[in-house]
Amino acid sequence: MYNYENSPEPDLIRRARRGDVKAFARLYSRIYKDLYRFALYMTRHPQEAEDAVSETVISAYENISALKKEDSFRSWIFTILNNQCRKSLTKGGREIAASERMNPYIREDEGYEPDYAGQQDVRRAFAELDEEERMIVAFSVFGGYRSEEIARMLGKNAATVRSRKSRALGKMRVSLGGAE
Amino acid sequence: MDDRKNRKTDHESEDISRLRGMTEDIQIPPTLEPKAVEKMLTEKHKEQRRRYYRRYIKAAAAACICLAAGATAAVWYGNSRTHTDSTAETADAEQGQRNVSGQERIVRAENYDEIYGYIQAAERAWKKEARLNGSARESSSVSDAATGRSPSGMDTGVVAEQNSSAYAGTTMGAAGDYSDTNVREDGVREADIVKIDGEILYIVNGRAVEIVGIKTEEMQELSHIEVDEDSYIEELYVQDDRLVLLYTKSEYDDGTGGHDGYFREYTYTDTYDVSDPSDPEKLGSISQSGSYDTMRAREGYIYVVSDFRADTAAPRGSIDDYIPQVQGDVLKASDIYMPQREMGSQYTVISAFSLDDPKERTDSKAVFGTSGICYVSTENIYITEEYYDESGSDVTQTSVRKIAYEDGMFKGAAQTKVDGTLNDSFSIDEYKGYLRLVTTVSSVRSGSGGWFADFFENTEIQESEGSNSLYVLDEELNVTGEIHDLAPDESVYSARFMGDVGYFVTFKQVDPLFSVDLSDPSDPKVTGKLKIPGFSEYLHPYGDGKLLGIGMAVDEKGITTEGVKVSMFDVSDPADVTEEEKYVLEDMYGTDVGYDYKAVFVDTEKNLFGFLAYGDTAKYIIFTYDESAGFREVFSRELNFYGNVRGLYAGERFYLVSGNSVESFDLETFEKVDDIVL
Repeated sequence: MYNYENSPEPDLIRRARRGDVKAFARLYSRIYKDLYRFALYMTRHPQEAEDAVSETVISAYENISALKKEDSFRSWIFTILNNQCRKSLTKGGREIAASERMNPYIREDEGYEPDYAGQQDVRRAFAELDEEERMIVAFSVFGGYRSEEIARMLGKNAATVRSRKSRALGKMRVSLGGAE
Repeated sequence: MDDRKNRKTDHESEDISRLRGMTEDIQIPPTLEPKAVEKMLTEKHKEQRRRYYRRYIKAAAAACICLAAGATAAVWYGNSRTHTDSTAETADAEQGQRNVSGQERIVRAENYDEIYGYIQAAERAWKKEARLNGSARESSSVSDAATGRSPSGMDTGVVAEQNSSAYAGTTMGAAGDYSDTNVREDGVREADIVKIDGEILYIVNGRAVEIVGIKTEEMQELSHIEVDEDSYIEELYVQDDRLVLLYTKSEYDDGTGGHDGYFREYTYTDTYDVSDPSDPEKLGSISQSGSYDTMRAREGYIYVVSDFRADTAAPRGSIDDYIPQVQGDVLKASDIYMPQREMGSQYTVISAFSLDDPKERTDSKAVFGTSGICYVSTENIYITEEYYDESGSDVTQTSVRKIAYEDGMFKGAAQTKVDGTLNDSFSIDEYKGYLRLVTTVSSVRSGSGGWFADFFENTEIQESEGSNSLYVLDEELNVTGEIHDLAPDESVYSARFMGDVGYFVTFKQVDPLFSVDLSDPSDPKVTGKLKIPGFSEYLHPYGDGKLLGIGMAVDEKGITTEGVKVSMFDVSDPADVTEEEKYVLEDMYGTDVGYDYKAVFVDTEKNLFGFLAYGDTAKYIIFTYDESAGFREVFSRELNFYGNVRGLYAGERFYLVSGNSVESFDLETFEKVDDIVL
């Protein structure tokens, strides 16, 4: 049996391109948490985030032949996800009840105490950013991208992205308070 | 750079990791867990296959008509199952003069109309495929991802192509006592993100190049060059007081051509005089259509390769949208080489100039079709394309077009097709006029069981890897020798041709390292087959009779990878190769060496090699090798950095460059000397 668990990415991509669902799922499993967090902070709504990620997965699976072997699966799928999130944001800014907003799923491990307060704070901090700033910060935090890479994805120049990022992080720093 | 900026950057990366930490606990909806997603996709897959089957019956009649009309590539599954000779194409019959006794001469475009016809054929094929795939491709986000263009102006294709210049390479003996980029071919130099000469480090840092003095222990930022807005520096190259910057620039087309506006990309090559490194002076600039792919330097000339995507929706009159430009001039039809099938949508654009006169190009050509692996020997540029759906072949194929180059001029030489596809540029190699290729041959619909499987609604996914072939071609690209059916059900993971001997690694459960005797081009022979667990992703000649392999360790059953593995093979007798030593980095799960040979630092004379490995953290590790003591880690450093890292040396110091920071170490003791953040 083929070992999906520890296979290198190019090999999994090669398999996924041939329609191997397991290989695709393995690629996905390496990044799905970041995908969801990205979508959650971009769309600010768990259901929208869930839909965006699930649409993204289907698009990516159906179009994986467009991904060249040597290309990074991660940046490719993040770009698709970003498009999905923007689509859901422009869909008409559906009204969301306050209670429904940002109530992420509760982790149920025993003896585990998630940092709910922290999540709420981050949510509040994100809420103070405009859409583009949110995108830039979300790409940096959840995608692990550098400003130059974000600039390329957004078709902007890197200096602009760098300064917007710096301003956005500045705002968030204020709203999160200086210390941990 | 100044302290203020350093502090700011530090601050920001702190912010980012803090935000990451605070959101780590967010629970993921159960429907998005990998298991659930796998199940959902499996269901979808089955459903799609049923749809194929239903559509097949309806489409079969139409498909036959398409075949007769010559738009064969448009037929998704109506392939004729007869395998024909790789050079016998229906198109050639009509182009009698172009086909010279079996082997093919490379074909120039007659005119732009001919090209336009090919682009429309590609567009038709694509639309047809999209229809057969269901409506999904038509939804905007999906087609954005597939075509690399989106109405919002985000060019996803750019992202997908960021790493497309990833081949693999040979060590260059350093001129002077400093290291050079690990290159694919001895004697052909290449650009990279970091370059060093004895006294200066040149580092790509986003839209800027940082020029750092390393004469003394304390590093010093001497100057920096910034490129225009909307530009992204890809690589740089340094030779004889000349600094060459290679960058991609996006220019917005507002859509006056009667279609939606979009970003058009150009590759710029700017040359600077850096005889005074604190005051670089720009000497000239060359522009060409498309995003930057790769660059070569030989005998004082620079050769720049870019990928240009034609706008397949362009009206016939908008020539600029589908014919590439160099220095603002649309290329002449006679400078465009046509693909070996009657469709195309991308160009590999190549242009050349002399370092003595970097204002003027000496020549430029475009190779039309789709873009694929590019390999450059000391005399020829080989542009390959992968064919997955060619009529007349039931297996994957590779088209090879050979363009000779010398002193900044190009000349189309020959073309051919072979069965199978290349793993990377190490799978294609020229030696003494002969071209050797090792390919993995897969059946065209492998993995989905062929159309008749749909007919029976057989949803079992067949895992068919096909097999591997080796070809030796002469200067005209006629086959002189070939071997087929090597390592059935396995595929090539790495290859290295070393003169008269070729080595390649295939993998499924164990790692057979094949040795092939190529001394008689008409009779290549497999002489050795070493089976060991795991596989190598990168092979590098390491001094006399030694071959270094970097890859993964896998347990005996081929089930679990056990970490990154380095192996030293004794190849003094190619017929009896042995694994002399191995070393496993148990907590590491991968490296970049398989995709990007430039990421490998190798100096066989200094007996050092290094690369970045990933585990829970990223680690740059340098090894030395001794026949009796085996591998020894002489340096290891954890990095909090995603992305490209380079290790280089000059004089007595080793430099580790990650992003905008540089650390220097003593090359003997590897004790830290200095650091600088740019």
